Amino acid sequence: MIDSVSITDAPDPRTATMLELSVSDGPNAREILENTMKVTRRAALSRAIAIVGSSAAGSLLRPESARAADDPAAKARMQNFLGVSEILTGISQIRLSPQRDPIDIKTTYLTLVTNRRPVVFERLLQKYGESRAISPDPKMIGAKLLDPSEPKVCYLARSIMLMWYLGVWYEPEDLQLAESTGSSPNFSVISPAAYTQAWVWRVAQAHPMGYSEWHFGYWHEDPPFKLENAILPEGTP
Amino acid sequence: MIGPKNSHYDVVIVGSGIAGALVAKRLGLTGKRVLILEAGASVPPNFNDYMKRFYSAAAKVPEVPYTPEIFAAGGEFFDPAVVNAGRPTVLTLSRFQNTWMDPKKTYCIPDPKGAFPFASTYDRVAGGTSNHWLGTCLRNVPNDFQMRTVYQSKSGDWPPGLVDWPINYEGLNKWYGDAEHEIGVSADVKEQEYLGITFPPGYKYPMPGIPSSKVDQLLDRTFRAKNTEVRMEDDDHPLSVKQTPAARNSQPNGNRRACAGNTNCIPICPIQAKYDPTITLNEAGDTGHVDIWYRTVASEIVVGENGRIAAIKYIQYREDQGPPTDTGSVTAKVFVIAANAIETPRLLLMSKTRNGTVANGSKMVGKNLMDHPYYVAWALLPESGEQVWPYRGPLITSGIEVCRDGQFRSNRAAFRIDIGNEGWNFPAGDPYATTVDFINNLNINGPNNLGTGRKAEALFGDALVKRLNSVLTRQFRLGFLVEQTPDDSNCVTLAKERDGLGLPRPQIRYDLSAYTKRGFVAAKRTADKIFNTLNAKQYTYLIKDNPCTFDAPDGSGPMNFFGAGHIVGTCRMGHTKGDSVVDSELRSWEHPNLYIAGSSVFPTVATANPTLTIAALCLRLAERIRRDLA
Repeated sequence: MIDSVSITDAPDPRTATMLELSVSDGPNAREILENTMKVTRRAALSRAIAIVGSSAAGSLLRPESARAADDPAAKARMQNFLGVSEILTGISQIRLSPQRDPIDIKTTYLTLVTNRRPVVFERLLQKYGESRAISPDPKMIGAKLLDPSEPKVCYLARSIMLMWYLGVWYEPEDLQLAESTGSSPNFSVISPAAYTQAWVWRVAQAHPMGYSEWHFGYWHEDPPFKLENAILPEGTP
Repeated sequence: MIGPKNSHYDVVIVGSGIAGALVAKRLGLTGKRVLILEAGASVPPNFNDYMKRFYSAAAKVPEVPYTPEIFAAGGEFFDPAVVNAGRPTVLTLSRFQNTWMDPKKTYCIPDPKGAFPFASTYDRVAGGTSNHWLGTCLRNVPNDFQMRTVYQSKSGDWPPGLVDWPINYEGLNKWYGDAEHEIGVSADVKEQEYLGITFPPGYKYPMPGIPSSKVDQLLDRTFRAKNTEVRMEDDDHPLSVKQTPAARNSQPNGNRRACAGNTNCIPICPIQAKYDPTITLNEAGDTGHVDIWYRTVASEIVVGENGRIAAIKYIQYREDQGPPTDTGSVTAKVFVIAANAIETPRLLLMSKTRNGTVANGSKMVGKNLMDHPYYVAWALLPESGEQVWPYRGPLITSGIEVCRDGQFRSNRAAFRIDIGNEGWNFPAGDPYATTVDFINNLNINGPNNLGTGRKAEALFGDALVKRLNSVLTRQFRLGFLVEQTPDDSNCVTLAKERDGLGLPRPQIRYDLSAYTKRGFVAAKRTADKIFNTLNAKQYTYLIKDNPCTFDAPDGSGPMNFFGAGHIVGTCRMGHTKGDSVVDSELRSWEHPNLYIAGSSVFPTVATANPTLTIAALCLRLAERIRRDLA
């Protein structure tokens, strides 16, 4: 192939402008900030977005993991976030949040969503609770969360799905605009860890490009795990 | 290393890419004192710095791991007028807001007389552009060296630039073998004996071949089952799948591991299982006889008595956009210009002589710029059929090579086909774009077409997982590297625009000839045929406002082309001083102690990816220089 690929004009979403994520609190927030600063020095930044939406959100900015450890409310909040995420992504909670989870991407994501969209995210969690009380059917709950008659919740839900799948952040408004115009939405890179944790690679029964944990010659054979084993609670990924 | 500034060396080499590194190492091993001038930065102290840049990048284009920075803090491109060692990048070739023709964004200036931007890019950093090569190590086929002799008489409309090389396959055979062992190629001889390619008796590649991917296996099985049914329209030979020889470890090699299939040869192999020139640079340094000065831009070749080169002037800097920190000149017995096929003619054209510019008696410096213009087609295997699980293994493990030579070359360009293992990543930005399509109710890439009325739908949960898996595991793509004719109007000249050091930037005039475009038509028809044979549904789309678009000469409509990163020509070797810049030994016709190394000396771009031929020519050149200095 091509030694220096020139994708002159492919509508590659990765050539979209990278947006600045800035954060101001919490160790996870700091981790994001550090990674982001590295990113921004070399990335196209057309506008800056702040993970902290308002000072009112400050109360939400205690580090989620620290809070989750000792605070039942924080624990429940994480549980709800994972519940929402499982229904939207189709990937089991135990896979999204494995017992041994040194990278802890879920906390990065929860912090990001909480900080970016505190009000709508509260509404989404509320809707999740209400729907679940009516029926435990994930299809029903998912359809409620993605109901276009409440667009703010719907597009935030899509942002959350894309965050889990691709490890990048799409603003809900950008998704809404892209859907109406039939174009590729802008996005922002979250962190190198988010890149390697993106679920799309496992759903493709592959690995992040540039992050193989397999050995020489594996590509000659079928994948070492079945799709079901990657996303359902049982089995070996 | 920035050594003590000894101003006199046996050999001074401009450029630390694969060409300069190989010449330096070989001469260093014989005790010659060598200095490499590298315009860009050194390898970072921690190789992981490159990886972090890659992981963090929004657009994971080939140059992202490497320096200098492309973007200013505000998100705008750095104005190349302030960058000391600038470079063209994939992102600055963008059609958006006409970036590719904006001198405040694009380093290489497109000549308004040209039809297209030059679609390939390069890097100016330790190791050069081959930091992000794929690793393909094909030899040229014998007829690549004698196009005019073999095919002109059967042609009514022979492109005048399509000449014979002054050397032939037999003359290069030994050096190909030397190169394969020097850089470490994995391949099997039996698989590589085709279209006249031969090996000395008992020859072995240093490592066994790389195993095929599931995509390769499916194509191979299908072609065998259909026997002669699958072939090009103007050739009788059935298509067949060949293992691609690669500078990629199939077993531990020296200090480097075997390939772990990171599917990331471009932009960067995270474990250096793929050879890159920084490996040779290290070995050159280990000889104890090779110095490298980084951030040192050669600005002029100075001619002394009897046409001999006396010195090379340089400018040094510390910060990518900072002021020059030093200037000077170095002297040597022999000089080798090994920048690349754009920076080498740029330096020659910047170097004035009494009656012209250095090495330019033939007026050929900068002319016949070539690439392998690249046609890409992609498809989805039928849902009822098998999965091939792309996004795994090296980016490419096999190709279709029978298309590289045949009588059709009297009429249209040949090509080779590479089989991608990265799904639709290269052509359509997957797995990202299709995921966005399914989640956000879009259908930009095509497969989200099972909703009501065959329209897009928004999926979630289990349905999303299953559909995404079904699509992503059945994607594949073919790439066609078309042999571009040498045309003297395709050329590198000096622009009026300057870089951060005040040196004129390259200006490029670029077009595709009718012969080349006819090769594209054959490529497209061959792609269609292969997809039909597999019952695969094609999703290739045309990017309408892409500046790299032309109307197919058969009237079938517009086509896009991409760059292959194979920057070739501009200082061609030839038979006489009137028809070329260097002789068959790569020596300037005018300056007996000036040599040119790298793909700029290729008279034609031929049908192999160029790097192995560059390496073979450079090892041969090192031997020649060693004899000069003996």
